[in-house]
Amino acid sequence: MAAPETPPLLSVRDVRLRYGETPALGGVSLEVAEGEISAVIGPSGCGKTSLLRVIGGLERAGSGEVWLDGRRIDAVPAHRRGIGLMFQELALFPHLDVESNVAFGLRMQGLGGAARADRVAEMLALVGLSGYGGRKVHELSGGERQRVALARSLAPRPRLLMLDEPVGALDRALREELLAELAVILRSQGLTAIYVTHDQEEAFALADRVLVMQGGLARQSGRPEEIYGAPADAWVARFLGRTNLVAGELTPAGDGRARVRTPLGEFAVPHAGAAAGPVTLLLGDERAHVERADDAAGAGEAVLTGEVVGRAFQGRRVRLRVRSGEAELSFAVDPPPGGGWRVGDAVRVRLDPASIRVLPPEG
Amino acid sequence: MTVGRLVLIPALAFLALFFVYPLAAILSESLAPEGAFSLAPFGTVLTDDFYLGRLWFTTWQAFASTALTLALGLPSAYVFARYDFPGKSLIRALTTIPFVLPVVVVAIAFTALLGPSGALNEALQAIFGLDEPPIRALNTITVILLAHAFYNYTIVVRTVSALWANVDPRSEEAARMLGAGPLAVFRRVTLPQIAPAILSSALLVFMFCFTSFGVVLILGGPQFATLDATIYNLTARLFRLPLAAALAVVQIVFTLAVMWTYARLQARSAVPLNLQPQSSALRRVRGRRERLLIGLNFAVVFLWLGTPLLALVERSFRGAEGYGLGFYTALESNTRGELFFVSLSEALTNSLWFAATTVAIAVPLGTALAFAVARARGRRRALADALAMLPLGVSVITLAFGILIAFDTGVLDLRASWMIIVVAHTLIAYPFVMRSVLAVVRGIDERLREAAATLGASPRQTFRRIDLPIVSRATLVGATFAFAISIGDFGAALLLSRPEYATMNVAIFRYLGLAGAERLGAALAMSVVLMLVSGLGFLLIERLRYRDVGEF
Repeated sequence: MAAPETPPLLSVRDVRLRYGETPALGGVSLEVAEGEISAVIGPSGCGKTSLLRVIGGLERAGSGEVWLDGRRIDAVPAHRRGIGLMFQELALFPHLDVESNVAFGLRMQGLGGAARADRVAEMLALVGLSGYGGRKVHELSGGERQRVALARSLAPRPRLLMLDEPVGALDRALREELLAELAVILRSQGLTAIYVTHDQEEAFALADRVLVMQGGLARQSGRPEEIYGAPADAWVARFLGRTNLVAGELTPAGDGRARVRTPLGEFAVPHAGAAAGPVTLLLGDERAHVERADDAAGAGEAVLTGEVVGRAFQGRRVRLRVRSGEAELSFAVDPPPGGGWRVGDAVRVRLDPASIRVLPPEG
Repeated sequence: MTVGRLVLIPALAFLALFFVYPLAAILSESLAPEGAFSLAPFGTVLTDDFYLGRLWFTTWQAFASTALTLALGLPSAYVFARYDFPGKSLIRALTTIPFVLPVVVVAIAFTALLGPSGALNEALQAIFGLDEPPIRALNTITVILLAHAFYNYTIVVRTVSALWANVDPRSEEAARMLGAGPLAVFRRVTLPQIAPAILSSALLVFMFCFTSFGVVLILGGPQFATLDATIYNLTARLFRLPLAAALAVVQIVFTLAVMWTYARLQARSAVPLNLQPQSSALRRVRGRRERLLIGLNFAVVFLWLGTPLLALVERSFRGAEGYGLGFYTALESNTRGELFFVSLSEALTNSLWFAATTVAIAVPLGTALAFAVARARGRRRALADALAMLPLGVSVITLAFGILIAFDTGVLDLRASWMIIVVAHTLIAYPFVMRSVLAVVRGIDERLREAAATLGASPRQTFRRIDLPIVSRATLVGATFAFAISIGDFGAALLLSRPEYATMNVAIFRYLGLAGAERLGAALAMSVVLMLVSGLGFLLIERLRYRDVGEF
C-alpha cells in the first residue's frame, strides 16, 4: 500500500475484537505512512471507533498485531504509546481550565515551567484561542471546545494523531470552517493522522488515503479518487453517495470486452476478467449527455431513454432525475441553452462508456 | 397564597416554640445559670482538662471513624459506579440496611458478635479449646470505630457512587492517551471530579460521628464519652445543667460550622461536570482482576455488614439450654418483679404511638416548609432555607436537652407529658420530610402550572390538582423517614421519657444496664423485633423513592 522503500509508520495487521458476544472488528488491516493523513469512513457501528481504540491501546485486540515505528506495541499500555486521540465527545477535563487541559499531556511528559507554558501558548495560538487559557471548559462554545480538544491532543507532539469524528457534533457552517482549519493545521504540523468520520466529503477533503469499513470489516482502501471512481462493490458505491446502480447479466464478447444486459438496455463494457453471470452496473452520472428523445439521433451503445421526474438547480449544473423502466437514475448535466429540462420531458441519455463500472452482484 | 399561609404560620410557630425557644433556653442557662450573667460554665468547659479531653476525644474519634468509613466505602463506591453485575441492586439495597437500623440495634449487634459471650468468641473458644474469650473488643475504641463505619458506610457508597457513575469514562481515557499512567489518571482526572462527593459524604459522616451518642454510650463503656454522652451524663446523672448547657453551646457552634461547610460544598458540587447517563459508563465484569475486586467488595459487604446482624439474630435464640424462643417469651412477663419493667408489647406500643404521632405532625410541617422554601426568593429564601435545615445541625441530645430545660415550669411544663418526646422526634424528622418533598417541588416544570392556568385553573386549583399529586409520593417517602427516625431514636427518648413511656430503644438500654445473661438475652430479642420494625420502614423507602431523587 504505502511507498515500498520506507516501512509505514503504523501497521495494523488482521486485528480482531469482540465486545462480549458482539464482534466489533473482524480482521482489519491498515497501513499509514509517515506524514500521511488516512481517513477511515463507514456508517456508525462499522467498527471505526473500535479500530482507533485498538490502535490507541484503550482496547486489547483479540488477535492481530499493531506496529508503530517498526515496533510491535500490542502489549504497550495506552499512556506509553505516544499516540494522540481526539475523542468524538471531546472528553475535555471538566474540572480543569483551558490552559490546564492543553498542558495535561506536557505535564505527563514531565515538561514544566516556561517550556510548558510556551508550548501551551503556541498551541492555543495555533487553534486561534490565544488568551483563552483561564476559561472554564463549560464556558466555551461548541467550536471553541473542539479547538481546545485539538490543541490538547497536539501539544505533546504525538507520533500519530487519531481524530474520531472531530467535527461531527457541530452544525454545518461551523463544521466546514473547522474542517478547513483542521486541514491547514494538520499539514502545517507535518502530522501523521488517522481521521475517522461517517461523512465521505470530510474524508475526501482531508485525506491522502481512505479506508472504507462496514460491519467490522475493511471493504476497500485507496486514494480518494480511486475509491470514488472505482468503488469495490455496490455497498461502497452507495455509501460514497453514488447512485445509478443497475442489476444486469454479463456475457463475454471476446477481444477484452463484454456485454451486460439490463432492464434499461444493453451496455458494452471493458471485460476485466469478470466471469459470465449476474453483475451490478454503476453508471457514471457526471459525463452523461442528455437530449430530447424525439431528436433523430437514434439509439446506440450506452444509451437509455426515460422521463424526467425531478430536477434540482445546482449552480452551474442541473441534476436531473430520470425514470427509465423500473429504475430511477440521476445525472448532473449542463443545462442546454434556452431553458432546461422540465419534469415530464421524455429524454435520451448518452453515457460516457468509460464511466461505466462492473461491480459484483448484490444480495 | 392563602392556603400556603394557613399552613405556614402554624409551622413557623411550631419551630419558634420548640426549636428557637429551647436554643435560647440553653444559651441563657449557660450564660446566666442563676439568673445573673456569668462566664463560669464556659470557663469550666473551655479550660478544665476533663471537658477539653471530651472535646478532643469527640473530635479525633470522629476523624478516625470518617477515615475508616471512607477506606471501606470508596472501593465499593467504585464497584457500584463502574460495573454491572447480577444482583447489583439487591446488594446495593442490603448495604443500606445498617443506616436505617436504630443505633441501639447496631450496638447490640456488635455486642452479639464481639462481646465476651458473643458468637465470634464462642466459635474461637470452641475451635481452639480456649478457656477465656480471646477477643476483648467491648469498651475499646476499636469497636466504636467499627460500629461508626458500619453505620455510615452506605452514606459514602451512595453519595460517591452516584457522582462517580456520572463521571465520563472518556475523560479518563483521554488522560491515558495523553500519557497518564493509572495512578496519574486517578489523581489528576478521576479524583478531582468525585472530590465534591467524597468531601460532602465525609462531612456528613463526620457530623454523625461527632454527635454520636448511643454507640459510644453502649459500646464505649465509662471511659469513652463524646460531648453528647457528657451532656447526657451532666443532665441525667449529675444534674449540672449550666455545665451541660455550656457544652451544648460549644457543640452547636461546632456542628453548625460543619453543616455550613457541607451546604457550601453541596452548592459547589453543582458545578456542571461532564455528566454522562449512568448506563453508558457501566462495564461488564471481565478478567480475573476485576472478578477479584468485585468478590472482595462482596466479602466486605457480607462479612462486615452481615455478620453482626446474623450474630444478633442467632444469639437472640440462643438460651442457656440451646436454641429456643425463651428470650422472646420472657419479654412479656415480669418474672423478677422489677419496678420499671416494660413488656415488649408496651414498649412496642409506645414506639409505634410516638412514631405515628411524629408522622402526623412532621409531614404537614415539612411539606409546608418545602413549598415555602421553594417559593421564597432572595433574602427570604436564605432565611427559610436556614431555619428549615437548622435542626439537622443540632445534635439530638442537645435538642432534647434544650426542650427539657425550656419546658420545665408553669403551663409549659411538658416534662411529664409523652408529647415532649413527639416534639423532639418531630424536630429531628421534619427536615427529612422537607428535603424529600423539596427535591420534587423544585423539579416540577413551571410550564405544568402555566398549562393548568391556561386551561382555566385558579392558583388554588393548580396547587390542589398539579402540585399536591406530584409531591404525594415524596411526602410518603418523607413520612416513612419520619416513622423510621422516631422508631430509631435513642437519645431523645432516653433523656426525655418517663419510665412508663419507655420506647423499645430505652427498654433495650435498661436491660443492658442490668446484670445477667437473661437480661442480655432480653435486649437481643427486643433488638431483633426493633430491627424488623425499622426494616419495614426501610423497605418502604426503597420502594417509594423516585429513582435518583435525593440520596441524602
